[in-house]
Amino acid sequence: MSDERPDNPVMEKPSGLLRGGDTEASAPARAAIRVNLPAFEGPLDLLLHLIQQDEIDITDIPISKITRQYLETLELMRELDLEVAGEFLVMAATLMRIKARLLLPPIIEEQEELDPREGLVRQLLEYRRFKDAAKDLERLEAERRLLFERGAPAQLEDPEASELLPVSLFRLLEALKGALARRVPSVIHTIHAEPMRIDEAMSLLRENLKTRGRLLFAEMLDLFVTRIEKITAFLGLLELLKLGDVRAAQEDAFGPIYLEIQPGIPANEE
Amino acid sequence: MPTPKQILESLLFASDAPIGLATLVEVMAGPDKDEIRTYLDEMAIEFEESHRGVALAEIAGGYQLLSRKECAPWIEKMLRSRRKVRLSRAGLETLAIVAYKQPITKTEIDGIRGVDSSGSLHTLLERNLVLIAGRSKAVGRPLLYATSQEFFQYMGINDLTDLPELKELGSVLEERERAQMELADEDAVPSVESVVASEDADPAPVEAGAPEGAA
Repeated sequence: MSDERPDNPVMEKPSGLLRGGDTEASAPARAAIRVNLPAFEGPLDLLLHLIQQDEIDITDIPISKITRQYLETLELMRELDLEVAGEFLVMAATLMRIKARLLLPPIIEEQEELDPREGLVRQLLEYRRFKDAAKDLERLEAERRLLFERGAPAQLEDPEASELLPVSLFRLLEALKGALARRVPSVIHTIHAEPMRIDEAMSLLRENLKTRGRLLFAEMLDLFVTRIEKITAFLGLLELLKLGDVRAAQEDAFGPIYLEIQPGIPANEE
Repeated sequence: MPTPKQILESLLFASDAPIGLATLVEVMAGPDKDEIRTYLDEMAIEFEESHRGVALAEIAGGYQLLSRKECAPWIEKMLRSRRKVRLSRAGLETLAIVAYKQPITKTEIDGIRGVDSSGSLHTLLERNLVLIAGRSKAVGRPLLYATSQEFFQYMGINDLTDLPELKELGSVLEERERAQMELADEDAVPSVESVVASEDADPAPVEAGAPEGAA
């Protein structure tokens, strides 16, 4: 079977064994493929496409013509740098085997004269049933998507805002570590530190988030000057997260962390 | 004292998933199954006739309040449509094969599609649309795939009999197929296809829906 390499799509003219009408349609068919190459789910999908395109009777496939078109499409896929899965090549070999069988006179030893195309036709028909069934499911899916059940969080999101994922505590701690590791511009003049309490930090955070809506974690820490204040703020943030007043989220696993005030949090202080 | 319909409506309102008739019977602790079904049927008509924004749907073997489909654009606007992505073509094909031929092995699915379906099956499992119903008795004891309860929810249907009928194979091949079926009787795996596609088959759903065989 090694001589049936699909690399060589140039086969001889359609043989007399096959139904006529093979030659004239090939040029426009080829052009059509070149203009628009849909994504094929597999070799059967591609074959069905070729068959439908030429309005061929599926139970009476002109193998020679279809084989040629099939190989041309594979060649095109390769030119387009599309990955041609192994299954496509197996089908190419199958097609050429069928074609060869059709060219040969019937072998005597075979009990009954089966059409060599029969297995393929059966496979195509079976596949087509489920391809159609998939379309039915797609329609059901589309209809169902118009019906909404309860439980969707009703909040108008900023259409530009990308989807934010919840952040784990671990990630928050890492972010704190990163922020603390960055050099804080040293305070030049001494001030007598008035230690900030957690609830004060919480309040500051809450108010800032309320006016600005969303803060980067790093921006949040910048609101607090000294290392001890930053740590106090962090503890305050944890408390706010626990209370559910604030949400921490990020765009992707290692992206920057955002803090958002949750809607409906009443201002409990001035 | 609220009327039974009021109670039923409140239960349906409070639930974000379909409620089975058995649950409703248990919770209501009064009217029997048939009475509750009658109430629900009446309520569905009342919702419809009073032009409400919600409708009472019979879905995935239960009852659920769903928004009217005409209202979808507004809901989508409100939710900014953060919905699960639709299934790909490969996913839909694979799901269709599982739905109509369950329980079915991956090899059989690959055979019909002519390509490897691992990726699609994985996605379907991940989305809970498909489950593993057990193992086939065939060599290697391959896993058998079936649709889940979530599948009915997702497609908005009540059970497998709600699936559109599978098209028949070409009539020429039909005969041969039947002859072959008689010859090759070893295929012991029961097929839902026969349930869905032909009327003369026993309409009792195959145990595929039962999730107990999650091996």
